[in-house]
Amino acid sequence: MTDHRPDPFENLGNTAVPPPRAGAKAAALAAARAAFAETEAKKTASETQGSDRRRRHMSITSIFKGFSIMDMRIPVGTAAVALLLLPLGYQLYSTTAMTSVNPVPRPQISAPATDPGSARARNEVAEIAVQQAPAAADSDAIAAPEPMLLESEAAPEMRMAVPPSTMPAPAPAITQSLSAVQNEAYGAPAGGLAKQQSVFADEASRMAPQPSGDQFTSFDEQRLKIAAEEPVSTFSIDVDTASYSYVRRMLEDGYLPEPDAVRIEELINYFPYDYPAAPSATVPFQPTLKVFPTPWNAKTQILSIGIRGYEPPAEAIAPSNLVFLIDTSGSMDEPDKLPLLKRSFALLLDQLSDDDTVSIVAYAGSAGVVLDPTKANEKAKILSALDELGAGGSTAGADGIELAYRLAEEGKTSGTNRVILATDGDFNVGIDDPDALKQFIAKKRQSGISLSVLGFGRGNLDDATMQALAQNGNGNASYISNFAEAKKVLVEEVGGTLHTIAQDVKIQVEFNPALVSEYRLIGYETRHLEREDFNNDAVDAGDIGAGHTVTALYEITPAGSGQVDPLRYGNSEATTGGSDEIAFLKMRYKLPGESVSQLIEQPVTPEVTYDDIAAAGIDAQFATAVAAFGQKLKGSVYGTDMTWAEILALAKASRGTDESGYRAEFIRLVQDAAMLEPDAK
Amino acid sequence: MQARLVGLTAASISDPMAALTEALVRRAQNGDAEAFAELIEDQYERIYRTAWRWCGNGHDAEDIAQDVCVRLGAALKSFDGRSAFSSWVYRITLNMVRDWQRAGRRRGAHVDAYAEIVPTEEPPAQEDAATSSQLWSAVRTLPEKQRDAVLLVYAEELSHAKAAEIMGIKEATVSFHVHEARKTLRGLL
Repeated sequence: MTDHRPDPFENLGNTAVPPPRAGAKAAALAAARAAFAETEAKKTASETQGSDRRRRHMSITSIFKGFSIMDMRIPVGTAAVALLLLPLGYQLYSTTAMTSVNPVPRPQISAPATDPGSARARNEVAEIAVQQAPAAADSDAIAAPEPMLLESEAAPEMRMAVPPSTMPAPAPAITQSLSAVQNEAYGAPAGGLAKQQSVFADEASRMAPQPSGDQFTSFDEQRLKIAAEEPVSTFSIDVDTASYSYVRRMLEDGYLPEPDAVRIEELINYFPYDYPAAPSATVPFQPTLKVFPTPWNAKTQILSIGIRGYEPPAEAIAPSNLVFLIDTSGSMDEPDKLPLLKRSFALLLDQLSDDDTVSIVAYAGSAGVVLDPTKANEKAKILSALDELGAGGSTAGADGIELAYRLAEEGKTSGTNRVILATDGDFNVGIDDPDALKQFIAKKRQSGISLSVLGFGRGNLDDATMQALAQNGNGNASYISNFAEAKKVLVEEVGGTLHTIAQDVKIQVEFNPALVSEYRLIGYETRHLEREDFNNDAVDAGDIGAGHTVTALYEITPAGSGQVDPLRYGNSEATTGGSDEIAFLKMRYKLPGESVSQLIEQPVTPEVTYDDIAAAGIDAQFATAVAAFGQKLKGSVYGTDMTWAEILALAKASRGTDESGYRAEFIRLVQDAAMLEPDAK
Repeated sequence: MQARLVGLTAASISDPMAALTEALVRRAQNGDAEAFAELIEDQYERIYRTAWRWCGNGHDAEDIAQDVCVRLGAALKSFDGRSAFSSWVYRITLNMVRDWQRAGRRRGAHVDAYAEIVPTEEPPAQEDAATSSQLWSAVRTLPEKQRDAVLLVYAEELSHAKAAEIMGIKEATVSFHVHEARKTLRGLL
């Protein structure tokens, strides 16, 4: 049936399928064996443990299998099967998957570097990305994998793309033996566009297809607004930091992140800032306002709004009730996923007080309650339950999320009640329809159970869903790329992650058209609110946790130097109201559990204006450096004139004491980015 | 049991592998865990490959393959031998793929990219890659029946009869779906 016909469908059979990773296979086989053993065990037992799936498949005929009289059916059926279908089976065997993988005898060139015996191709160190040629202009030319990236700890300087000139068109076939040596070769380098200074400086374009499985909500950058026409800007705060972690991981691996993956407010808010703390739990934060010159535009100024959440003393914190909903699908079986999750979790346990309860529910792969609500002081029990988590285990139902919420209801406390979903992108938690899932989470939020999402791994991450779920669940979305990040989210910022001190925090800024001609909010695109939403307490917004700092930056253009011409026939003379206020800040928030919002108001007066950015303090400088970095990284239309060196200098000048080393890390990232996408000379 | 096995083996001298599979199925259905382990080990690659061809994404394919394996473990008893075991496995796999995709996750995300990027894939010649990747993504956007028919017949290289059995439709309907698919994709192919 594969006789030659000029038929494009013919090619379908010629495509080689990459072999599965050994880990995933082992996990699947283990899960299958467990399921089989369980079914066997149940055969004698009368009732299953409420697994719809299994019952549905146990057709009535299987009940009769034990009766010898009915068993006659089997030989007849078998004989028929044998006669009719075994030849076909043989045909299948000889033509498709079960034969050894060597389907298309295409010319192969083995790159010396991929020789498994060579020192470079050592175990976990070889990370291979075959990258599409960045010939984006011509959409037809979805070109063959051209350069190859080989990364190695043994030779870190090897992190560069092989120039096309040194390699003939077909990229080297990576031998199966190599992939056997290192399991994650296939999973790891899914995304990004590798660039190398000397080779791709010119041609590498942001438009190149991003061969990444990660999904991001695309959004348009905040545009410049004219203060006379739209004097009011409203948005919800955002304490998520997932974007920074993702960007960092991409850069550290030598890729530029996709523009949509860079959310500037999340970059800025990743860092702790030393804003004055709020006085009491009833007024959980107070704004810090500063106006200072923009480093990338001499005509404009930056208005910085900083807030820091109140940190209640430890004894004032009510016990928490945490339910972990953990993805155990096959793809979680990678060192930076489930194993990292286990280690992170152990860190978190040490942060919990003895009154806190923890439970664990697994979904996908193995599913069901792994740990019933347990006091956090029973560490050994919790850790052993965690250790047994694997991509194997029992298979009881798929309604992971409902189970998790049920456990959360059972153990409900006066303090934080939270479901923490840990996944690499598989949101198959039992409710298939994304909208239904969001509604479910939003409904549960109203009953006081929130949801946070911890993202793991790369190449599969569904950032858009992750954000949507966390936003609907009043929680935060964090991306855990490595152990240090786990430490930051689950230890240093555990208060912010777990203890909400104010809910539905909205910010509204009204600019004075007499003093400000144009303004632009930097970031917060996905957090935009309508003007009328501000006073509407039914509209959901971001929550702020204990000790969280949130920073928002506006780039404002003083009256007279705007780039938009005033209207010829418009009412060009803006009324000042006789005020010298630049803008007026209003913030609304709800105390935890309350439904009526409180208001904080503060004018932005000339007193907080600084003539030199250095005088505005290191936090203002650093936040601006991060904003500039984000804008440049995403190829924004604003602020890209600033060179990497200038950003670097600004960041270095504002490093401060930097006890946790985050700012030093940022400085390294700026250097990485500068190498990946050098400034035009 | 023995007699049946002997009979089976005799009936398929040309195909010891399929006979072995049938024997393993029988033993597993009688509760032999080792036989099941062996069976599933044999089947895994094929399940995974099928899943990969249908969704074009290694991660999804792995997750689907795991779900299929689990389901096989739980449902093997209910396999009644009315169709070939391989057909039954195909059917479960295709259903799982469909459930997975209907649930709307990650379907088609960067399928083109994946088709090109997976490092263990043998890189085809440049033009081949372009057309083949377009073809793949086009085929994956077909309506389910058409896609299943095309992939079973051309990617899995099965006969129309076998495809019909797997899809639970008539042989002529398979040809019809393939024909329809060809029509749908005329612009591209």
